[in-house]
Amino acid sequence: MKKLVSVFVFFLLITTVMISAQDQPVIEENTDDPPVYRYDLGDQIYSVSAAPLINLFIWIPTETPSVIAKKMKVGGYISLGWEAFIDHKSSIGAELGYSFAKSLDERLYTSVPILAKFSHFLIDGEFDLPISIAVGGVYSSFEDQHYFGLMVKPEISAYWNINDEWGLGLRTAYWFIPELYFGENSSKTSYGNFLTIQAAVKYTQ
Amino acid sequence: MYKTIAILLSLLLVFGMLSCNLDGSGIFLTISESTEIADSNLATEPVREILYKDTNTMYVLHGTSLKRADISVPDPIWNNVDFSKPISEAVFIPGSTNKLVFSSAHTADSFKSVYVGTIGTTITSTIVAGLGNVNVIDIIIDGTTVYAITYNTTTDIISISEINVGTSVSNTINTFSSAIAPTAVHFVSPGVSAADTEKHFIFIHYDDTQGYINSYLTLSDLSTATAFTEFLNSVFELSDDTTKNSQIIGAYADGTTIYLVTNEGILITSTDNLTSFIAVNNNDPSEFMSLVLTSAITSIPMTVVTIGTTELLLIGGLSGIYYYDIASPSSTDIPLEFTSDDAFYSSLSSTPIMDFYNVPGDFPLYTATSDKWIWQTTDEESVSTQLL
Repeated sequence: MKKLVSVFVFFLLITTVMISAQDQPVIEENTDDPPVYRYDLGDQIYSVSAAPLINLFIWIPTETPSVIAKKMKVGGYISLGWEAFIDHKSSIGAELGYSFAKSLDERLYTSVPILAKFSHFLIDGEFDLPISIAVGGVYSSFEDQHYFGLMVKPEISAYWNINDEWGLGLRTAYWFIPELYFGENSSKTSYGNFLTIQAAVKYTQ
Repeated sequence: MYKTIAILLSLLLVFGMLSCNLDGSGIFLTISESTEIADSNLATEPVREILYKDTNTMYVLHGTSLKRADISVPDPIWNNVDFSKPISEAVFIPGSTNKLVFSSAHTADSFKSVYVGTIGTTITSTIVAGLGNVNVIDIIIDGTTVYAITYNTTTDIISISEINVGTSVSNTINTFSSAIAPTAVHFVSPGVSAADTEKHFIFIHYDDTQGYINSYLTLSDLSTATAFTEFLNSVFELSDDTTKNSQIIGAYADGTTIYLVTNEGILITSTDNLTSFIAVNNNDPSEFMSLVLTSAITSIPMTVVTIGTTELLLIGGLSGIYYYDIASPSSTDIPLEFTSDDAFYSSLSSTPIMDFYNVPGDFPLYTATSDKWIWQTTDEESVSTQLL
């Protein structure tokens, strides 16, 4: 049941992206000049980013209270990204990262997200404003416990393009990491919720 | 656009299906149960040894100092018991006036002197006659009898002396010729009231050819023996070099069974007073315990706790505690490491264990860890609490 609810929520997220991704008509003041787009099909962007990793709360449906906050200290996250434009406004790509944070009792939590990413550029030009949804897997580790599962990361970014190649930006992302257990262990199911505010550098090719 | 969505959804489903629990009991669940470790005035360096605890007061070796605190109160304050000299080896002798027999390293040379410290209204220490300016290997206590093991590098003589705590005078009981100084001495005894034939000194030497030489001297033979008896058994051989031996770093006696632990992480049992031996976990290196990083660590803590009808031998490891069922061990049992699944252990995980303290077989158990704190465990079901 919980799987179905999760899938439904993700469908909702995807739908939101689809609606916002509808092509806007290009208003041409002078019909003799063709529209100018910053990005063309096949353009690629390489990016690196770093951010503090902030645990917002842990949701454990079977516990009372079910929302537990302030159990992790602020950690860090670094990532490498690549994306390729599939049209003038949208791109698909991948992101590989590494994150770490300590629990209150100084034990180390680490994770390696491996994500596929879809972005739509609401604004592009001297300033870019892409919104993204990344979905993939994350390998989490906490002492002798290890878990590989799903991760969903909606994100909104703002970039200042210094020139045609380089840009600096900030990304705000929300991490949703389900840790699912089934059968007699289902009471251990929990959901990690994090926030990152990444400083990023991108290179467009 | 739709192709993109299809790809994303496929990924969603694939990773959803792969959301398998590889091992463990719940990462976020465990994190949600964590509590903050408060600062401690023990936090400057690890507690080396928990020496003694009476009803409310605990004495610990902290760095080169003796510290004590009333642990019956919240946030106990650890005060220095100031002998005005650094403490190396030490044993605690409880009594109407508590005493500490300890060695103190000289600042001007490599020798030590042995003192009897008195912990009374005033803190005093008296040098033990005959044990000034010596090379101390260890100080051993058996009940109220204190032995000092020293080595003379000029004469190549190991001396075992008994210290009169009342008069601060030592009496050399026996000497043994040895071209190599011992690197460590362990004393294993089933209890103060046990016969001297069941108590043994275990000496560790290092030889470039043989590797480590493990030998023993039974307390009943202390005054008459002319040499130590070497452990000549294949269970002590290094797993990857059978011409050399692995050093014994832990020794514990429970009843008639002696448990020895080697640097490699192998548990060895002897039920006939060190005549024959059985290695418990030497079938494969994957069974070895992870206990020490280097051979510089010559001693690890061991104790026994009782959980229900089970007696567990606890062995202090490099990043946690190993346990072995000694009440009813099967032929296939090997020492295993506690995990964060185990309630009382969860707060102690991922830290080298420095020392255990308990009434043998009983709770509460006190554990000194390298993360600079002492933890109190009241029973096997309780989460360990930090003893400030």
